[in-house]
Amino acid sequence: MDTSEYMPMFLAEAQEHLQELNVAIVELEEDSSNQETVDGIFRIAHSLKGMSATMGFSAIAELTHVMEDVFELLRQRTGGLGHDAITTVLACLDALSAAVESIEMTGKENLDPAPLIQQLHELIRDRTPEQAVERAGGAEMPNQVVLDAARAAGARILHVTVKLDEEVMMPAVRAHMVFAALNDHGETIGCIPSPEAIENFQGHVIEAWVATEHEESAIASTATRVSDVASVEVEEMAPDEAPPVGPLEVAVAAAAAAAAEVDEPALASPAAAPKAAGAGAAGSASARTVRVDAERLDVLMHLMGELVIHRTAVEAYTADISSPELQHAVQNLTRSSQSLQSMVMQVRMIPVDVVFMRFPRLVRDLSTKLQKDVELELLGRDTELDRTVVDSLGDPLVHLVRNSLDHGLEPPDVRVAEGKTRTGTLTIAARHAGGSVVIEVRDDGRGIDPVAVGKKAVKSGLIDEETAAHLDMKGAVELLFAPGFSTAETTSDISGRGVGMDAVRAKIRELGGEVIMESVQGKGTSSQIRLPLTLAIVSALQVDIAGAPFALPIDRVERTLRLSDHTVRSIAGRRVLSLEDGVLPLIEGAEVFGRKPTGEHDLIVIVRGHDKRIGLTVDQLVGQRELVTRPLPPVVSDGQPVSGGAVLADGQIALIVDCDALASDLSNTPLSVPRDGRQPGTDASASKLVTA
Amino acid sequence: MADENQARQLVVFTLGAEQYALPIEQVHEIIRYDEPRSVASPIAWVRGVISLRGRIVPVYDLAARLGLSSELTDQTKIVIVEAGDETAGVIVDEVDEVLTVEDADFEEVPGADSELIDAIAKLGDRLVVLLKPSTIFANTEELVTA
Repeated sequence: MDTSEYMPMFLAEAQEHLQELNVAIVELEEDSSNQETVDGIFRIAHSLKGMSATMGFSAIAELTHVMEDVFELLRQRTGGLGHDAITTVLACLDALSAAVESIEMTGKENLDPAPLIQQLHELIRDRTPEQAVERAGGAEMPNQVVLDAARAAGARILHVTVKLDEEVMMPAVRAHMVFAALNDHGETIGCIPSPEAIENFQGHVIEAWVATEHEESAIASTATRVSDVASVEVEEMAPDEAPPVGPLEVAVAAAAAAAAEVDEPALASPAAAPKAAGAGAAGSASARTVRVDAERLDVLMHLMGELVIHRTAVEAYTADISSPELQHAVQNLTRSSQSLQSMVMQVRMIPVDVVFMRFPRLVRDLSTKLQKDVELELLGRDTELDRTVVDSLGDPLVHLVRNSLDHGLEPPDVRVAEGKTRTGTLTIAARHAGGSVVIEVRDDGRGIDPVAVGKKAVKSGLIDEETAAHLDMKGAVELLFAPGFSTAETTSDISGRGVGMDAVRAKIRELGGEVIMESVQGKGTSSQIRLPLTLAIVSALQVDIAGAPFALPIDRVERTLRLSDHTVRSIAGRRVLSLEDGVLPLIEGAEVFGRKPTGEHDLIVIVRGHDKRIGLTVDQLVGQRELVTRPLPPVVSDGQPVSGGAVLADGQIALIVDCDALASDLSNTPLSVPRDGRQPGTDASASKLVTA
Repeated sequence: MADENQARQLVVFTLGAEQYALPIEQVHEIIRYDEPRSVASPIAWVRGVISLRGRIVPVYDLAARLGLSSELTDQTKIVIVEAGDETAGVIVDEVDEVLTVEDADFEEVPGADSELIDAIAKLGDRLVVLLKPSTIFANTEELVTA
């Protein structure tokens, strides 16, 4: 079978499954009694096995099969897994991840499962005899929900016990035939062996629970007609009879639902009939989500943008035509396309949990390695973000988390000595704030020490002794973001090498966001990443500057005012705006965007850059618009403080102003006061402001 | 570039008094000239951007780039060129025709600006200059500093 077509899907799903398993296993270590987690693990492991077997990756399938045994054991006994067992399982997950990665790169697994299988076998060696029986048979029991549903539909539940001839050659085939025959007369809602186990069935007794309208005799005779059947017993289950319990005293009722859900069509092909019957729940579960190539979503978004533009053109052209029918049709078009637009936007949104999922494992591993006691708190996991943003968020967040674990949180003894709880808390929280999403990484560790930061910065040649002596927390934080800065006295293998906070900041700015770090010495550090909700649509104030449309992202616009109502002064040859709440640099819009000024411009928009506010003169305020952003060709955007473009309703193109770049352009002029390690050479004397 | 003994289809257009051409595979479409939205670009021949079905596409002044003079007329068109992932429009005075040219009719460029020019097709007494689409998108940073 040519499976290459399914490869991208396999890789994506496998990675997802592995990540989910990582999370679940760590969860399990914390709370071993959670049956839901255990079922989840079993289900994921099973899908993974099925997928890899289908794709012909036998090593992965083999390893996951044995892992499944371990999880099976887990499902049957309380008390969870010991630390060693967890570590072994995690090692297996790492090996699987590596194998999946290898498949992605080379198409080959590069996995030798034998040593890990050996380790896993040691974990399950002490399995009880009953469990062994269970493994061999594998039961799928009807659960109460299915029973109730079947009864509600007017069916009777018959319990069919079929004994095969002692001499039977192929019990698996006969079992399959029995189930197929039963399915002709009703719906099989539970069976022993289970659909997954049927292929390896070696026993002589087959049991099934069938929801049917037929009489017992009809069922019995249909089963008897199958070759090698020695005897058939059929009895009706009384309506109040509880669902049967499997050969083991385990909570199969819940497990049956889970087992039905994991049925992998490719795996269970010979068992298709019983599967179809037992998988009522599975059908609805798998229909709930559809996996879509991210690229297609981008195209969809793109087409949506085009539609919006065409729609507004149609609206404009038809506005003057007095035809009620046409107006009505246009209104309908508008309404539908607006709904479509918001739906497309929603489709692109995915919960931030996709990124968060990796952290329980990461924190567990790192804290074990660093011998620190850390409790990870994940808040706002269902906060939704545009998928392009989510995809790029991983690395910066990992860096912040590593920083907190490595530099922020103290070892337990130190914490106790300082009167803190032995266990440190690391919180990763996501929340919506207006048109942005704020993701915060917070620890209650030792905080940033400006003195230590200063020393380090002097050593790296970023600042001089003099500056270091007066370094405050704000300055220290700025230094942390300076390229090449790392606070670790010796570079550990945890906080990475050479990649510092500057890389985090660069990445986040690339996404149109900002990183803010705050710290209280001795109390902890908090890093906040603020990102636009979506990169695809920006809410902006549309203005005219020298006759051309520009857009200012609304979250950067503080207010607008009239030039004539305020005092403009000149400081060191530059115009500044004197307001009650401060003195702001005043930028000529026409000048900064290289346009010929056109007459009067009495209006000023106060915008926020990442660390300061500026006043921008504009000709006209047009209004607030939701704009579909488009990348600009590099020849256009390079060297200009613009971050993108947008096609307006009338077909004109508005350039979206990059407020950070606008504000930081000023930093290169003598007016700026050196405030970070980036420009140690800036003329300090300019900080004395001369008022004209 | 092309295989031996093969014909190539070219979109031929006028710039000033000369005829130029681009391979038809890389001409996405030809549109009526509308004043592009001007942008402040340090590069003189970047005339601005236009919206092409929602996409923002840069428009280059090919005549200025080749050192020719041309003026806007009713016949002025924008040829949308694609190379790799990139799309750009170039302003031309007039689009003349689509020509099929045998490989044999192409001649090497004698010392001319080989950055932009791929070959010259000699057709009777006409000379058609075949441009390299890829260099229309040439790394502009390089060009700015050059």
